[in-house]
Amino acid sequence: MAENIGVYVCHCGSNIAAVVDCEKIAQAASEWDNVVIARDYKYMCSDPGQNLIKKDIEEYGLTRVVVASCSPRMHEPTFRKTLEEAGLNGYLLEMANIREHCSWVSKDKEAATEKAIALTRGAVRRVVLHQPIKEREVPVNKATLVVGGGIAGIQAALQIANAGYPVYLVEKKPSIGGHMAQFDKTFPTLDCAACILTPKMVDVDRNQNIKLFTCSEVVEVDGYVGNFKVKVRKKPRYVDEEACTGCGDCESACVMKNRIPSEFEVGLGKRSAVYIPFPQAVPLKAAVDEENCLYLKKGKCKQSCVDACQREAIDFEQREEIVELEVGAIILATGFEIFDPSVGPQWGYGIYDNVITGLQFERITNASGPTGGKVLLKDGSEPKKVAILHCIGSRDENYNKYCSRVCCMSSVKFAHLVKEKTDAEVYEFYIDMRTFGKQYEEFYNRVQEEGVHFIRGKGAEVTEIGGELTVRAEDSLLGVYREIPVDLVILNTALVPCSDSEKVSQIFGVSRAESGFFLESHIKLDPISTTNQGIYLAGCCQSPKDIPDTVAQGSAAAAGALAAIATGKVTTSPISASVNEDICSGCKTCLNMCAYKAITFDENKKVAEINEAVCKGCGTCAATCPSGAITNSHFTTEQIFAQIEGVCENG
Amino acid sequence: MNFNYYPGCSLHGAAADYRMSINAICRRLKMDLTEIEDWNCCGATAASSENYKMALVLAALNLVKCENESELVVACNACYQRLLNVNSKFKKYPAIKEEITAVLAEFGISGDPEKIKVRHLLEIFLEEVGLEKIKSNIVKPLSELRLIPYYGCMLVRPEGFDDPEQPTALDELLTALGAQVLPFYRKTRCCGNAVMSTNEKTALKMIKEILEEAHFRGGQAIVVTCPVCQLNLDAYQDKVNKEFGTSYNIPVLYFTQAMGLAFGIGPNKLGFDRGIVPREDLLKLIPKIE
Amino acid sequence: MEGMPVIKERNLHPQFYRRVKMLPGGEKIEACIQCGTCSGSCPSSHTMDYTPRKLIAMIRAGMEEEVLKSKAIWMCASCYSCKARCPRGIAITDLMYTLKNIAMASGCGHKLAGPVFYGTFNRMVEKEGRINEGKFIVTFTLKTDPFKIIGMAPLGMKMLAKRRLPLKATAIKNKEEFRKILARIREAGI
Repeated sequence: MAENIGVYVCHCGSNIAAVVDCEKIAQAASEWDNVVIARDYKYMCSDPGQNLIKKDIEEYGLTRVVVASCSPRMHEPTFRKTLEEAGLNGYLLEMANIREHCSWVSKDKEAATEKAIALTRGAVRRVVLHQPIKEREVPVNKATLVVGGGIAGIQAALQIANAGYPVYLVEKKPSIGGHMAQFDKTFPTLDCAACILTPKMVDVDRNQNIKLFTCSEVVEVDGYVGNFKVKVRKKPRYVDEEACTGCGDCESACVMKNRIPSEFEVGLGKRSAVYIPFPQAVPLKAAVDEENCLYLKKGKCKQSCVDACQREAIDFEQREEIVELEVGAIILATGFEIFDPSVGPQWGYGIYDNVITGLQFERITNASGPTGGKVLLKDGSEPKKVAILHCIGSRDENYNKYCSRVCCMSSVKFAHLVKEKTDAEVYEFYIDMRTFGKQYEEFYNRVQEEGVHFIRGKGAEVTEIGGELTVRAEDSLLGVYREIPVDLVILNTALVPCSDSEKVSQIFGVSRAESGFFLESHIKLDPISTTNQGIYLAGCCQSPKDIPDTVAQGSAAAAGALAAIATGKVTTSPISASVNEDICSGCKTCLNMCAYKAITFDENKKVAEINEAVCKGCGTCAATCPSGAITNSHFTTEQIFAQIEGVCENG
Repeated sequence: MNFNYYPGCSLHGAAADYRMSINAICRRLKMDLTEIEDWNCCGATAASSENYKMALVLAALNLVKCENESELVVACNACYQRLLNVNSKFKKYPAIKEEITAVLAEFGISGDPEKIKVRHLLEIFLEEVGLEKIKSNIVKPLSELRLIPYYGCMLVRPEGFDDPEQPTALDELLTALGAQVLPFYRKTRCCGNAVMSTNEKTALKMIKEILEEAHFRGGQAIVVTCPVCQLNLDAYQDKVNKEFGTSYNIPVLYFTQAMGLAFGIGPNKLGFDRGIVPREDLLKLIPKIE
Repeated sequence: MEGMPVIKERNLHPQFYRRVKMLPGGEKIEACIQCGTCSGSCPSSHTMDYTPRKLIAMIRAGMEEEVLKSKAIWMCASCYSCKARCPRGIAITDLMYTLKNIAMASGCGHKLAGPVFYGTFNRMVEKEGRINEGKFIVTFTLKTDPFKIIGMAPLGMKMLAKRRLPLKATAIKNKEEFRKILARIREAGI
């Protein structure tokens, strides 16, 4: 096969050139079959670099291009576009990764250069066999599904709805609002969470473009970018939403009144079996808790809720239903859970009464909370000394390696609130103070001035000495061991991935990071996309973040979805698998292997069939097929072997 | 049931009552503990403090006396941790293993310490004998006794068969004996033995912390799994009282003594009379056999 | 006027840090975030001249003499609380052992009670193969503080009375070979 190949070796400033001899690669390449021109250049991705390729395509009549530079993750689209602009199909390009795979991981210049030459030679051999393929354009359904009704989901939903497009907002709980609805004041400006969140929640309720599903979960996602088919399980609320006015009469009448620990109050308050989650709930409708309702559980109850409801809204006949939706984009905003500190008995949670989590403190200090906003101990008295422990379950190999990002600031906020409401001395035990956001350092400074004791050292142990709750820690700035008696300990716990995040990742076909949070496309440049095109991330389901960052990401995810909706079409990768019907034996092995549900079985022809639009071109089926009937375009066996041979060949 | 057995120096010394009670209940349970031939001291914390290779050799010398792929049962927490530790240390530091194996080979000693599974006696009762069999031997349930389960540090740290901070094995065993097992937060807090002779004040404070919570919880006795813990909590209670102006008087017994009592074995056969803090009052709370 | 303590760079020993890193427990000390969980969890850190966290900082700075002469390393009771809780997975207890090893090998702090205690114990093990608790304590006390023997008498009598202090020495049979093996290992150094 005679092709005219141009080889371009990038210095990437000194990123590559400091370790790899780029000129030597170009020299070597110029000797290889089919290579008509080989150059090295400081920055291939720059405008002049790209122009170099374009000019050569014209002058030398190049039919294939190899760029030896960085990972294709970032710049493959760049160079494909370069080729397209010069009239060549973008898939006639191959990149050799001589940065991440070579210069960044090597110190030995000679060996690195040798390896870079081998990688480039592999790319040259491979590119000869490339076929021009065309990207597909698919129409986009204008509706968006937002999963999770916390502040991230609310922000994204409102943004899209306000642009005039329909949104389905699915929330697992009976009300939207998420964790933010439980908070008291918010840092750094101390405005109350409810005051800034409630208007947005009400907007969601009123917005004609938003269809809200509460007590609901997504159970199945089919299809592909632009054309997702989603099944939502709507669990029965046992309350007619149209009829219910949210008056709360049922709640007061319930025989289980004040007997069930309230999730919203993090176990500090009690609720009924039929209840309105919190005063600002949206929708402001009662819901029956199946697990605890005597009638639903045992069939025996005098049903005083039914008698109490003047609107006859209680309906025990409601059944679960599956709603099918069609959407063009999906935004995952499923949030986080709080680390359970009882797994570390050294912190005394669950052992001593007056050891609470940060979220519990939010409720205690909240005017609508169990103590009416007064900071009180279990016995109802006011604490005289309060300890706040940072990093509980964060920055810790035994639990979660990552920093939870919000705790330093919320701890400082807790200290302020304790100071504001009591005369207590406050001790903060921190490892490093991370107050990096806008107006955060100023807030820290303000709370320092309020007289809070900041002790640099992690609270190692909470124990009782002679009946006194005591925090043991090293004051690491003094280098001394301290035992500080306190009345109340607030454990500022890590933000952890939701316990069902693995299931959710499977349903939506998105990956998870080592930490368990959902994985973004690019940690810096594309933190909202996932590896599943058309599915976006917002808020803490991607990584722990505070309210400002969550809101920003909610808007960003909405912008991602809107881009496709507004143009009405998206291009999808043309790399996909296909079945040679003549060879397929109908063994069905591939069906179970496909993570994207792209393969179906044609019962008439008794062969596997691949939906190219759904197929992500991962190649699993092609590798699995025992009869070799499946080919993955752009990753054919011949192409891969040619590349391997090129890499392995000597000289 | 037959096991290789490593008693450790204390069982031939200050922990005579531990040895007696082990013998008595093993006889009842038809367990044979065969002392390994000419065992030597495990090195305790002293060998590791001077030369970690010496510590590993002392432990390895005992392990190679067992047959390959066999188990070695240890009664003392400190010995248990020393012998158990060889395995992970050899895995982590292959060069050290090589060096030690070579020295042993010079003396014609072969055998791979990594092929021996080291287990604590408590673990054997729970996992091999089983709580069911133990329950079936009970003739005097300890239902009148409120007991503090104290594990000490070396049973579970750095390695072991139970949680490193809040283990439950001893709780389970004592519950099976019918006793009221009290919640005890400081169940793995160190008794301070390693510093008792060199810094008595520090050690006494450490003992006090344990006695303090045991007293606060209302324990009638502390139950231990280790001769070192026993000696510290029992023999130094007097000194703690003098140092801190307290008046603790809490008997400290071995879990094997508790088992023996429940099995109806005569207290003297269990060395029950050998407590420095007298244990005899507890016997009033043990039911008589009809 | 006394100013802020200054450490002259020429008095620091970066090779000490490198050496400790090569020995058991030293592997991950570069990852220490100086949070003090070790010191706060330690049952004896309240009597240490330097807390475990600070010792790590000192090792990293190369303060060889100060570390090896510190009393702190002899206060470690080897309970492994620090190791269990260290958020960076540092085997601090093993590190303490390593520091004691280096200190004993180099004769640093040989007058402190700790090294004498461990040395006495180990010499008895080398001689007899086993430890007789009573004999050991008496030997150690005579070496360090003979007058203390009087104060120890009441407890000793109690132990005797309770038949928990055997006077008969216990020893292994194959002492000769045992001693040779230990000598070989000690020759090899740490």
